[in-house]
Amino acid sequence: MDNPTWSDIFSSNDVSLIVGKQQMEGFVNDLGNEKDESGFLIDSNDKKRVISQDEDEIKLKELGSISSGSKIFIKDNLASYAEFLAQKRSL
Amino acid sequence: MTDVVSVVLAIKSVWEAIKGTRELKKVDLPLAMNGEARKDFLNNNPNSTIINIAGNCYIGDKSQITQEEKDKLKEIYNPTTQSEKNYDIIDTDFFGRIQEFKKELPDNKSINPFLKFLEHDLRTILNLSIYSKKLFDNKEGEKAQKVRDDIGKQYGKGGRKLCNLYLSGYIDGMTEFLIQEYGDNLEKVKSDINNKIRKFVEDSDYIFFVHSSSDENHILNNILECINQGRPYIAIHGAGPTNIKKVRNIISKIEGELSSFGYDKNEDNKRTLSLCPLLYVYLTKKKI
Repeated sequence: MDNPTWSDIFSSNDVSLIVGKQQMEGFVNDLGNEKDESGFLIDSNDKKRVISQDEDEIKLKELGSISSGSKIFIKDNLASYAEFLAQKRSL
Repeated sequence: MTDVVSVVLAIKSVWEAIKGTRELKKVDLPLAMNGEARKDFLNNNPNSTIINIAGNCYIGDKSQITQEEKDKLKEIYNPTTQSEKNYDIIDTDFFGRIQEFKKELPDNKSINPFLKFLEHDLRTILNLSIYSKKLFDNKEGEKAQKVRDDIGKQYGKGGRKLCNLYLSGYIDGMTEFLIQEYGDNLEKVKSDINNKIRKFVEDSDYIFFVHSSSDENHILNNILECINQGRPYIAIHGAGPTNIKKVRNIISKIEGELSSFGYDKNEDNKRTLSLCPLLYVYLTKKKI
């Protein structure tokens, strides 16, 4: 792809959107989540705290990755991500 | 430092050309892969996003994503649609750590041939343990320790123990032994290996696999410690003539302790299909 558009990006299959802390919060909001007053990620609709890959509540500042197929919040912990790879992406 | 500054300037010049437009512009991969420069750039340009796709890197202005495109992204992440796309919206530092770890995965398979048969938690812990050892060996102690800390946070005491067993050479010893024991019987490997490793982690304080790089005196002292503690059961395994000789040397040096601390000794001599000799020695404390 020489000159892809954002639309091309969202039509592709294997994509990493690499972001800093500020951009991450923007994407969290775009996906229908926000942080509560304690810094935990919540669903913007029902205001319930989201559960991360390691079955725990997660603060925005701990967030390492939001990964597809379902919306998976992964803590900034290599073991969490590596287990996600082993479980969901057969690596 | 000059290097990071020049890399940031190079990325920034691309950014200046597309900022505020819907254009995405390709950047040299080495530029985008410089972790320090990437972080500096992203922190100072809050609308920017670096996109890694099929081995190419692009920069785009996130503020230019339309509502329709945001909906498309939401759909990718919708748990009910079961999208098969692999998408990561990922923190720049974390991306760097993951890339370095992923590079090592193919090599890990040759280091431990059983990895492919392991359930995902054991496979993950061992992959990370192998990676941590490589970092230690490369004198990157701080990074190695962080990997071990991550294992502890994710898997608790059991994860830490398996990692320590790997770092101390016990998993290699066990693997070496099992390769001899199983020979080419892959079906047996698949059905047994996960339970064997879990049991080993549970009982690791008193099960010893003597292997090619085992230090005889180190194992001897550990066994003596078990005997002194009055452990009800101690097992020592060796495969192949050289390792069996080591096991016999160790046993000959503890005969006195076995008798005075009241232990029975049972030996089981087996051979693999390829006729490699195996020796299992079981020490059990006599019931009074």
